[in-house]
Amino acid sequence: MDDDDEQRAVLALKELSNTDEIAKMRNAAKECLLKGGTADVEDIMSRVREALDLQGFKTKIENFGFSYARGLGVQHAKFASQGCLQKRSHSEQEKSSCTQRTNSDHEHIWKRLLMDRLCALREATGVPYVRPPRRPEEAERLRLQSAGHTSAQRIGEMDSPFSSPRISLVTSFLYSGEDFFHALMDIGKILRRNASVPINQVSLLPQRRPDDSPENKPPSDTRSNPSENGESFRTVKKMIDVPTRAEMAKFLKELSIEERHLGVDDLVCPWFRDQHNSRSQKVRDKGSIVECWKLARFGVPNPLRPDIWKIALGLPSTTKADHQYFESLCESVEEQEMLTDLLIEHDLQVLSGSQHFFPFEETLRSVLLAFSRDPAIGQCSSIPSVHFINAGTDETDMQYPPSGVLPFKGLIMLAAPLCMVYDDPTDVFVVFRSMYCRFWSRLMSFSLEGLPQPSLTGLCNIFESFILEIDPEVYHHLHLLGCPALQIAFPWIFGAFVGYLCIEELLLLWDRLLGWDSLVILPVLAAAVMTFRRKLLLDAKTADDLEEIIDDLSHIKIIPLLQSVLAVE
Amino acid sequence: MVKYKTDFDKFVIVSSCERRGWSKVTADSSEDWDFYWANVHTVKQLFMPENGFRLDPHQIINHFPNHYELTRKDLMVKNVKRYQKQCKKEGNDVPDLDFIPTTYMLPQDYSLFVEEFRRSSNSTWIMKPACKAQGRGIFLINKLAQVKKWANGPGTGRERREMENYVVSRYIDNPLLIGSKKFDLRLYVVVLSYRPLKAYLSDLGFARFCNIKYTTEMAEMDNQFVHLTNVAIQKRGLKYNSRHGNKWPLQDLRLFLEATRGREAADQFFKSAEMVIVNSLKAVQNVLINDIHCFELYGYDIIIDENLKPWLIEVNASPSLSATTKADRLLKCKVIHDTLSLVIPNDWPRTDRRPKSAPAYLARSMHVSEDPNHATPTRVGSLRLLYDETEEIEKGRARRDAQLQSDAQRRSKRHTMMGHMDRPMSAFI
Repeated sequence: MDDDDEQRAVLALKELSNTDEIAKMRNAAKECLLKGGTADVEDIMSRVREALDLQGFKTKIENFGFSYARGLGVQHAKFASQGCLQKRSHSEQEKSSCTQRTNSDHEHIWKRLLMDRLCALREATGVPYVRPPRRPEEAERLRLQSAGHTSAQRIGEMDSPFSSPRISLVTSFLYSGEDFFHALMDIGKILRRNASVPINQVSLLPQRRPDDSPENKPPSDTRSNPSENGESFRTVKKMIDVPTRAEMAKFLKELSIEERHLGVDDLVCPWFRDQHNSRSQKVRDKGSIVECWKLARFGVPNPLRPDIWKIALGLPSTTKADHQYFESLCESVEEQEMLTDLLIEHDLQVLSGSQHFFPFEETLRSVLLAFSRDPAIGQCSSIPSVHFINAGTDETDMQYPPSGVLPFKGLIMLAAPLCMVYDDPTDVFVVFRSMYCRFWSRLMSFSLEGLPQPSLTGLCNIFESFILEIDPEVYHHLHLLGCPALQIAFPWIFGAFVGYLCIEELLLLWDRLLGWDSLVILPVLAAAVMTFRRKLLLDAKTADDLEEIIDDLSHIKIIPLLQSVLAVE
Repeated sequence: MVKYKTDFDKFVIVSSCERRGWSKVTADSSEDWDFYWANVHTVKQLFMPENGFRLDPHQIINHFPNHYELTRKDLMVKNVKRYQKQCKKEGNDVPDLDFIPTTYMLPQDYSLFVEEFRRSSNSTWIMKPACKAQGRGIFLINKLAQVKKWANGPGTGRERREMENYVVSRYIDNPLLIGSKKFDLRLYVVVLSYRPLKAYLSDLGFARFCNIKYTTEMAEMDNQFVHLTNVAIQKRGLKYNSRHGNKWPLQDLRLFLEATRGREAADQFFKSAEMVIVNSLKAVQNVLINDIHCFELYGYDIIIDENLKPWLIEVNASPSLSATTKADRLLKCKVIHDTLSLVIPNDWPRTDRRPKSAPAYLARSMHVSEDPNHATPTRVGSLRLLYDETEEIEKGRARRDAQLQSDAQRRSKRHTMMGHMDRPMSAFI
């Protein structure tokens, strides 16, 4: 371990020793010793160990060690295939320098862009970035107007007295998946440019389109330059070490066709369903993170999902402190209005049209508003955030919004499925925050990580390589039609398939995200769906036909598709 | 060539018939049809003895002559109450039988109602016209004065007659809420015959949500948007969103209940809901005229209370065939299509003229998962066999036979044992 790691280990142990757990452990050990018996050290030790195990401490220590190791990035030592891990470490050095260069270029350009758009929004709506805090009397008056009992209810309700009347003036999102898509396509250009070209002459993103509607497709020229490094058909330049199908199958070996999974085998074999149920209950009772991950790879039974997802994310069961924290964030929303609140409301309007999620509109409103005020998130957000100096308050260099995450189109859809799993808004908030830090923040990052935890760039590269390997015919056909495969699959990947798959299948997919602690299954599924529909895709004559074919994924069963596409002949 | 007639010019009916290659009968007065999707008034006329119109053996029509015994609120309650009494007398008093809220007919049971009302102070009651639809004329009361006001209300002779038949039920004021809003369930049930009773339940259904948060506050008692889930009412609200139409798929409800209440509770709820449907049909079984030309597609309205108990609100003979959203239209098309596949005999000529743009899954519903010549398949598309009386009778017979046989065996064994006792224990001493 180098100095850095050692320091972190020391800090971590200190943290552990300060918790109640250590005190409990000491007490348990003392009790055990006092029970008397032999003076044999071995015997005493084994009795103490047994006692601690019975009280669940063994699992707690395991979990703690596991989370710590994950923080160091070594969690896949046991699970990843040797090949993948080797590749990763070998190109670490060249990647890190590359990453630094791209990141700083990107950061700068991206920040400028967001500032411009945010400015434009402020002009259009007349709402300042941050309003001065409301006077207590005014806040109280608004509270009385609302019907909710808790702060969360008050800010969550439709037409809440705390919401801005200017919402109708918001006509477009700050940014969306499409912006990322274009940025990725242009990344290659940035990398190749030498340092002599000044940054401000690099135009990363196209000029703002007059209406940012999803129907506007990018121009049909696919922007890939045939003269580049031989990879003439790629929409996004290959920048990471992409695994082959065989390596992917090894990494996702639990999806092999011999294994039984929820979503397919439980429907056919009742005994498997019962067996899996009892196994899941045991895993849930034990509370070990590692075992939850292993279980989640085969699917989690519906009623146990709330508990198992929490364990898999390393979250303790929700305490009063969590409720209070959530409530206090909601109160800060009541006290001070921000421009970003309007963006969240705009996003909600998309959700409220959704057939599956409309009953949860109010819960999601309060969760997303509270999320935007939570400073704890800023540390794990990978997208460069916008900072303000003197944003009309006394704060200097405040991260804006406090969470560091500027709302974009689709953020709320990433939280929506959680309402089908958790009843209590605090649970939804806590789990969403954890999943954002762990997964969704990577969907907005251009960093060049490969397996086991790729970011958006890596996911796109993996998708294109994978589909090129399993079904080049479809890939080239789509390319010729002027609608490259990645263009179709991008919304699926960026949105984690929310709104495309039916809820049951979506939750089974997210089980696997947790099980492998990685987004890598998203591009694999996207490729599987496309090759499943290959006959229809190959019959399509124009780009418009394609829309009809890939429009409706609600009848897709994901597990058979994944198993068949990973089955290496 | 199959000829069909319909009183509803609705896409969900017409498309199902057209894709089977049937031709539409346009003349209103024509009696030359093979299949008729009629409205309840036409059916009433048709079955009136004065008309003298007799159906040919092969003709199929979508209502039973006296369906109103089940579908009129007051008659349904009367029949169910009679059935409950009968079961209690026979010693079959099961908790499943308590599935309608306490209800009284007005004006007949006025005094009984007053007695009950006084006994349970602080309760809210709901007043509904006996034979109106779409939430018309419904209001809540919590004071006797409000009933008296209605009873002595102004109106001409004819209005008073119309106002006369009302039902008043104890209001279920603790409905299960999702997102703080009240909702009810719409389930589709197809009955092929009443004696023997054969009923199917569709997997497809939906929850209808109110637009406004639920509250038991007095001030909001008259707010129809809080309490009445009828689409016709909610549509008029400011908060109505036509993209989802306030309809939530049944599968989503099941998922949500499993996750938030556990699998046993969710399964138990759906089983109870099925029992409610079966019991309601059994209640009217002996009253309905079991015409072999008839079948019926009912729209069951069920409310779930916060203890996950289902309550039957009413049964609709003509569930709405209009579609409010794209998903709604797909759902209703599928339900109608499966219904036709179920009721149309296999020997009718059939051309599968599936329109080009129809999604592939519609084809799957044509698969009947049992021997097609068998009269009662267990599943046709989304319609699952809910109750088959012949099967129950068979099972009962089989049980009795098995019992008789085991009794006989026991008797003969005793006989042989007795015989053995006279012989010496061992022949080898």
